[in-house]
Amino acid sequence: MSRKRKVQKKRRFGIRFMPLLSILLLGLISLLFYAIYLDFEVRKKFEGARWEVPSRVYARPLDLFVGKPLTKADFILELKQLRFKNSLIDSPGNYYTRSSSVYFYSRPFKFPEEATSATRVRVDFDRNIIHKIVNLDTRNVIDLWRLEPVFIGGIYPKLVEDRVLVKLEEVPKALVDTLLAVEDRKFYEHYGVAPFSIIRALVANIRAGSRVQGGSTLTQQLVKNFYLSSEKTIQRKLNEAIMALLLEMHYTKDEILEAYLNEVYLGQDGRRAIHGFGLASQFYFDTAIENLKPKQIALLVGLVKGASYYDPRRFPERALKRRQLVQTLQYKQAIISENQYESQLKSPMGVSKNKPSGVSPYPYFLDLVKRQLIRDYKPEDLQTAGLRLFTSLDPITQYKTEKSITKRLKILERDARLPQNKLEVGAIITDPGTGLVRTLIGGRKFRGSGFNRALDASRQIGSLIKPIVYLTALQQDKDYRLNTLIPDDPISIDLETGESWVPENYDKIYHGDVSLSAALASSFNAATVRLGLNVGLDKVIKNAHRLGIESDIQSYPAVLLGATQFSLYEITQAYQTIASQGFKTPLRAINTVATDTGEVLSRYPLTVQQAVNPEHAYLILNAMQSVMTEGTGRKIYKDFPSSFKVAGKTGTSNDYRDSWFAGITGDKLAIIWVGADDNSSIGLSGGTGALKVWKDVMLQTKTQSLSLVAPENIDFVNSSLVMHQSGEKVCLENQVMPIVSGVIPSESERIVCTND
Amino acid sequence: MIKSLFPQSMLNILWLIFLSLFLFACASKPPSSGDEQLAMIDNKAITEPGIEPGIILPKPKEKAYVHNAAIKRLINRAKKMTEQERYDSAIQELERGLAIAPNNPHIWQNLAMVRLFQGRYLQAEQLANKSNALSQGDSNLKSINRQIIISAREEAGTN
Repeated sequence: MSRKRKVQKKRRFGIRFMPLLSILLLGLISLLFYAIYLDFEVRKKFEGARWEVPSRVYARPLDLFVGKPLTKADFILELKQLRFKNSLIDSPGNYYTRSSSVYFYSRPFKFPEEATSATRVRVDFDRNIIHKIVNLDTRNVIDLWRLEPVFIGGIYPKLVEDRVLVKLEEVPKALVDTLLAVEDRKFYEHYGVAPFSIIRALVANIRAGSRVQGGSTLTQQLVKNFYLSSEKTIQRKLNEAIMALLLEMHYTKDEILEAYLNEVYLGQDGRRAIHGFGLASQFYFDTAIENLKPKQIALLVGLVKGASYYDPRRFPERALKRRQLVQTLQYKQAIISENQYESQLKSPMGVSKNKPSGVSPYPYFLDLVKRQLIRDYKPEDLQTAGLRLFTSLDPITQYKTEKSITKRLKILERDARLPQNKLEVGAIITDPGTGLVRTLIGGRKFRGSGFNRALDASRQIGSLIKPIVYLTALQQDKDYRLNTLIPDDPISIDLETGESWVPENYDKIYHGDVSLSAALASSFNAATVRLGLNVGLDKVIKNAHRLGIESDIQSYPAVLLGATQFSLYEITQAYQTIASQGFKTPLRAINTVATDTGEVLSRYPLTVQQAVNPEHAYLILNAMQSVMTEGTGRKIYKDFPSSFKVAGKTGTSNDYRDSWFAGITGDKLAIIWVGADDNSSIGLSGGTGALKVWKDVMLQTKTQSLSLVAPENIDFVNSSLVMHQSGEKVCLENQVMPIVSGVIPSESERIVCTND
Repeated sequence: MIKSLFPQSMLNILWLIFLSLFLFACASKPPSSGDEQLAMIDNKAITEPGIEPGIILPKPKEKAYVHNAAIKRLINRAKKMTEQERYDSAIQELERGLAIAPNNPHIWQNLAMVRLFQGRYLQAEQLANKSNALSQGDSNLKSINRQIIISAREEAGTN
C-alpha cells in the first residue's frame, strides 16, 4: 500500500471514531459536572444542620430545700416522670425508699450556665416537708439541690421525626462492632462502595435462596436515608454510588459512622419516625444507649434490615429469629463470649411495654410555649435548630389537676343529668407572685392537640368581672371602704334600643343596704350595677385593661355583670395583677432558651409594672376572702379547715352556660372554666361547677393557705359590717377591717349595729 | 417630799393636767410600727376593751416570709454574678429564689439592684416599689429601695 493510502486509511479510521470519541468526551464532561453538583449537595446536607433536630422542651427543674412543702409521694412522682427506676442506687437514674427517706442517684444535667454531676443523695421527709438533704458521697448536708427537669416534649418539624443525638464515643463498642459485623465488615477499608461486597452478597443470597446479606456499605445506606428516596432504579443506584464516594472523600470514617448511628431508621410510633440508635434504645428498651446489653444491641442492629418487618412488638417471633441470627454473628466475631451466647440466645427480648412518647403529654402547654416563642424566633428556627427550652410547667401539679378534672367532670355530668362528655374544661394555674404558668388545661382530652380552650375559647365571664368593679370603687377610698353600705335595690336602665334592663339577683330578692364587701361576697347583681355606674363604667373598663385584659370591652352596663367575652388566659392575667400586689406580672411559660451546646439565646425575665396601688389590691383581696368565708364560695369549708385562707370569686354567665371559679391561695392562682363547646346551658353555676373542680385540685396539690402582706399604708380598724350569712342579713360587730391609711371613718360614718 | 414643796391644790392641778394628757395620748394614739403584738386568733386582733370603732388597731402580726439557707445562697450567688456583670444569670438565680419565697422583699430588692446595674431603670424602680409593698415596714429595706428609686430616676434623667 502506498504511504498516501495508509495515511488516508488512518484518517478515515480516525474520522469514523471521532463521533464516538466526542460522545465519550462529552459524556465524561457531563459526568464531571454532575459529580460536582452532587458533591455540592452532599456537603451542603452533611454540614450545617445535618438533620432536623427538634427543640427539646423541659419542665421546671424541681428545687429541693429544707422546709420545702413536698410529700415523699410527690417526690417519687417526679422521679418516675424522670424515668428513675426503683432499685439499688448503683448507677444514675435509680432510687429507693426506706421509711421516710428517699435515696437516689441523680443523673448529670447541663443547665444553662451550670452543670450538675451524678450524685447520690438522701432526702428525709417529715410529714409533708423536706426535713434534711444529704450528699451521700461527701456526707455533707445540702441546703439546695436541683434535680434535672422532666422532658415534656419536642417542637417537631412537619415530618414528625425525632432524634436523640449520640456522639461516637458515647456508643458502646459492642454496638459498633455488631453493626459492622452485620452490615459492613469492611467499613474501615473501602472507599464508599465495595464492589466485591456486592458480588459476595449476590453469591450468598443465591446460595441462601433469599436476601441474607446486603451489598450496600454503611456509607451507601447513609446516602440512601439522607438524600434519596427509596426507589430502586439504576439511576438511583448510580447516584448513591457517586455520592457515597464523594462522602468518603470529604469526611472521615468516624464522622460517617456517627451520622449513620443517628440517622438509620429503626421504627415507627404512629406518626413519629424513630431514627438513630439513641432514640431506639429508649423507644424499645427504655434505656440510655450506654446501658444497652449485648442481646439488646443484637435486636436493634437486626432492625436495620427492616424496622417494620422485624418490629418486636408486632412480630415478636420474627424479631427474635432475626436477633438470634445477629447474636450468632456476635459470637462468631468474638463480640460476645461462648457463655454469653449460650445464656442469652434464648432469653426474652425484654422490649418495654411503655413506648416512651416523644409526642408531648402536654400539648396544650406546648401550644402556649410555641406562641410565646414565635414572638422571638422564626418558625423554622424553632423546628430545626435543636434548641433546649426550659419552661415553667410543674408536672406534678399538671398531673394532679388532670386526674382531679377527669374524676370531677364525670360526677358533675351525672349530678346535672348531662350526657357523657358534654362538659368541657379549661384551667390555668400560676405562681401568684411571679406569673409563671405551672399548669395549663386546654380541654378534657389532655393529650389532644385540638382547640385550646384555655387560650382561645372566648366566653362570657359573668361575675368574675365583679372584683374589678369593686376594686374601682375601693380606689375611690374616701368614698368607699369595705364596710361602706351600698344599696342592693332595684334599678332599671334604659338601653339604646328603647328597652329597659333590670338586673336581678340570683335569688330574685333585693337586699337593701349591705356592706360593700358583702355585696361582692354574695355576688349581688343589683348592688354591683349600681356601684359600677356610680364609680363610672369607663373607669371600670380602664381598670380591666390596666390589669391586663387586652380585648376590646364595649361600654355597656351589662359589662358590669360580665356580659363580655374573654379567654381564660386573659382573665388569668387580670387576676394575676391583683394577686401580685397590684403589679402587672405578665404570664410566662418559658424561662430560658439555650442551644444544645448550652449557649443561652434568650431569657424570659420577670418584669413588673404597677397597675393599681398595693393597698387597693390588698383591700379587694380581703373582700375576696369574704367571698369564701361568708359568700358564694363558703361550701369549700366542708373540706378545708376554717383556718385555711383563700381569696376567690365564683362566676356564672347568663343561662348557666359558663361556670367559673378564680382562687388565690398561698402558692397558686388557679382559674377554672367549665362549659359546653356548643355554648348550650349546662345548669351549673360557678359554685356548683368550677368551684368543685378547683376544690379537688387544691386538695390534691395540698395548696398552702393565703397569707396576705399588708402594705405600709393599710391600717386596721375595729368596725361593723352588714353581711349576708346563710341567707340572712346580719350585722356583725367587732370586725377587724383594713382601710387605707389616713381615711379613718368619721363619727358620722360609723356603722353601729342596732337590733331591729 | 413633793408634797412638802407644793401646796395640795397645785398637786391636784398637776394630777389633772397629767391625767388629761394621758387620756389625750390614749385617744389619739399614733399608728403603731407593728412592734406591738396582740394575741392572734385567725388573724383578727382581740380588741382591748374600750377601743372604739374608727380607732387604728395595731397591725396583725404577719407571717414571716421565707428567708432560709437556700434563699441566702441564691441571693449570694446572684450578688457574685452581678459583680462579674453576669446580670442575666443573676436574675435567673433570684427568680429561682422567688419560686421558693415569692413574698421575700429582699429578693425583689436584689432584682431591682441588678436592673439598676443593667441600666434598666424603669424596671429597677418598679421592682423597688414591689419590694416596698412587701417590706412590712422594714425601715432598712425601705431606705435602700428609696436609694434605688432615686438612682434609677437620676440615671434615667427623669429627676
